[in-house]
Amino acid sequence: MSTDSVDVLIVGAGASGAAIAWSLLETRMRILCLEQGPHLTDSQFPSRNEDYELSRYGSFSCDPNVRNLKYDYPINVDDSCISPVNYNAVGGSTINFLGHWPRMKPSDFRTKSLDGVADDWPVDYATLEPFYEMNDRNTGVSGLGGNPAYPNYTPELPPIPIGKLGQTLAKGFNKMGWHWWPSDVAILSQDKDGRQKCVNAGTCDLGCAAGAKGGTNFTYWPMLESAGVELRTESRVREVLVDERTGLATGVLYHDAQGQLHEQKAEMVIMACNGVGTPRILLNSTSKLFPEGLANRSDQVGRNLMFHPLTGVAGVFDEPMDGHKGPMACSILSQEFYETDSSHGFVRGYGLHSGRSTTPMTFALGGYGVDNPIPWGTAHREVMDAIYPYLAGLTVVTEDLPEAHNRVVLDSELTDSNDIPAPKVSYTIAPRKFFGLRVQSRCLKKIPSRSGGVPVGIKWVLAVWGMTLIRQL
Amino acid sequence: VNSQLQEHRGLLIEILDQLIPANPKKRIPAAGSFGVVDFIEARATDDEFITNALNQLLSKAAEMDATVNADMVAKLESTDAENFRVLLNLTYMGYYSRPEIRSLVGVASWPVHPKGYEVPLEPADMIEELTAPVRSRGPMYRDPSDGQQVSSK
Repeated sequence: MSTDSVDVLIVGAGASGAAIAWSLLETRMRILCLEQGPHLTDSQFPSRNEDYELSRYGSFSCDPNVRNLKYDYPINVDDSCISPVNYNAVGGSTINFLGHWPRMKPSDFRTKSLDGVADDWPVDYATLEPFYEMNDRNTGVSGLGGNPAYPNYTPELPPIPIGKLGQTLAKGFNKMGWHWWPSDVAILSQDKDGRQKCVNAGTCDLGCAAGAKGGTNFTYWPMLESAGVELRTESRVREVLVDERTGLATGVLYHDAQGQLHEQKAEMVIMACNGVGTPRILLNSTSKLFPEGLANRSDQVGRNLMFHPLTGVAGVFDEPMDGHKGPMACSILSQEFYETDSSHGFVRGYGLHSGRSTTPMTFALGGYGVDNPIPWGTAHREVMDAIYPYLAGLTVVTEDLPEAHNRVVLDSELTDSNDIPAPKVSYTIAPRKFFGLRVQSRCLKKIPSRSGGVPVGIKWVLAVWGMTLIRQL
Repeated sequence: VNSQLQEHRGLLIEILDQLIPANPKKRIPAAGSFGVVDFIEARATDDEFITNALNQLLSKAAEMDATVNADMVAKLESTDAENFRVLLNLTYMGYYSRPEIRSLVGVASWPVHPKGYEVPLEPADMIEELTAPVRSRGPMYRDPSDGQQVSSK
C-alpha cells in the first residue's frame, strides 16, 4: 500500500464516489478511493442463506445503529423522528437501496421560481439530461419509454414485469383516471455487461447477490478497478487536512482496518460519503483556518438535511397478489400528485409507489424496523392465512425541502470504534409534509377499492435513503 | 441456556403455541410444537437483555398459576407489555425464519438467490392497452422554460 501523493482522492465508494471516479478516467490522473467498509462478495449477501430474513434485523439491517458492524459509525437520532438508512461498504447505500430510478423533473430544478419554496438549482433538466443518460448506461436501467410525466426518454432495457400486483393496481389507477407508469428501475430486465438479469428474489434491501440491481459494487467498480483506479477498503477517513496558508485540501488522515492512522496526500480531495457522513468529516476537520470545521465559515455544513418521509396503504384482494415475487419496491409508479396543484392546499407533491408486499417475518414484525407486530393468537392465523397473501400496497413518497434546522452536528460524547465523533441528527417533519401525507393517504384508500380490493388501513412508516444536501459552502 | 429459562421451558412452549396457533386445515404447526423455543434459547444465550426479559416474563407467567390459554396470555401481556413484546418479536423471528413455515404461507422455502421466482414479463400488447388511458392524456409535467404546465390532467 503506497501512501505517495495521488492526484485525486475520493472519500466513499458509493453512488457519487464511483460516478465521479468514472468521469475522471479519461484524464489519466492517479485516482484513489478510500472506503471505510469492505468489498462484499456475492456469497456474503444474506439472500443466499435459508434464514435470510433474520439478517434484516441484524447484520444487514438498513439502520447502522442496529447493524453495529465494525465498519459502521453510530448515529445519534435522539432528536430525529427518522433514523437514517445507509450501508458502509463498496457500493455504499446502493447496496441496500431498492432500485427506484426516477429522474427529477424540469420543475424540480426551479422550486423557488415556480412554487416559492427552497431554492432554484444552478443547472436545469436539459443541462443534466446527458449526464442522466451516461449514468443510466453504466448502471443499467429498465423501464418503458414515453412516460407522459417526463420529457421524452426511453430507458435502455425493457421494463421489469409489473406482476399481478402491478397489473391490478394499474387497472385501479385507470378507473380513477390517474397517471401511472411501469417504474424506471436500476434493475436489469436483461443480462448486461456480465451481470445477470433480475431473478425476482424480492429482497433488494439485503443487497442483490446476482448483481442485477445497480449497486456500484457491481456496476462502476469492476470497470474502475480494471482501468486502474485504486480502491482501498476498510480505510476510514478521520479528517481532511488543509494547507494553513492557502486553505486548500492537501490530503486526509485515515485509519486502516487495525486502527492505525495514516496520512494520505492528494492534490484534490472529493467528499462522497452521503449527507450524514460528509458533513461529519468536514465538521471534524478543524484547523486554525477553519476552527468550526472545513468549509463551515458559513455555518451551513450539515444543515438542510433532507429525508424521504413516507407512508402507505394496502388493500386485500380476492386472489393472491404474489407480492413477494419481484423487486421488492418497484412495479408501477404514479406521479398524479407530483406537480403543484392549487386544489391540494399546499405546494409541491409526492410519488405513489407500488411497494410489493414483503416476506412473512417482516410482515409479521410490522415492517423493516420492527415497528408494530401483527396480532398474536387466533387473529395472527387470520392475518397470515387470509390477508397476507392477498395484499397489494402503495407507498407515498413525499418530497422533502431544505430547512436549516434539520441538520447534522458532531455528537459531544458518542464515537465510532476509531474514536471519531459520531454524527448527531436533528430532524423534524414540517407540517406541510404531514398535511400532504394525510391528504394523500385518504386519496390512496380509493385505489384498492377501484382495483377490486378492500383497503385495510394506513400505516405510518418513516424512512430515508441517505439523501441530504450541503449547500452554500 | 440460563437455568431459569430451562426451568420454565415447558411453560414457554405452551405460551408459544398461543402466540402462533396451528392451522390444522393447512397443516401449519403452532410455534411451540414447531420448536421455536430452541431459537429463543439460542438467542438468549450470551444476550443478557433477552435473558432478563424472558426470565421476568416467565416468572410472572408461572406465578399466575393458571392454565395456559389465550386469556392467560392476554393477561400476561397486559401485566408486562415490554417483556412480552420481546418474546413476541423473537417468536415471529424464530418461526418465520424456518423455510418449512415460509412455504406454508405461500413463499418459497429456498434461499431466494440464486433461484428466485419466475415472473413472466407482460406481453407488449397488454402493457400497451393498460397504459393507453395514461398516454391519451398527453404530457403532464411542468416545463419552466415555457412557463408552466405543458399539459394538465
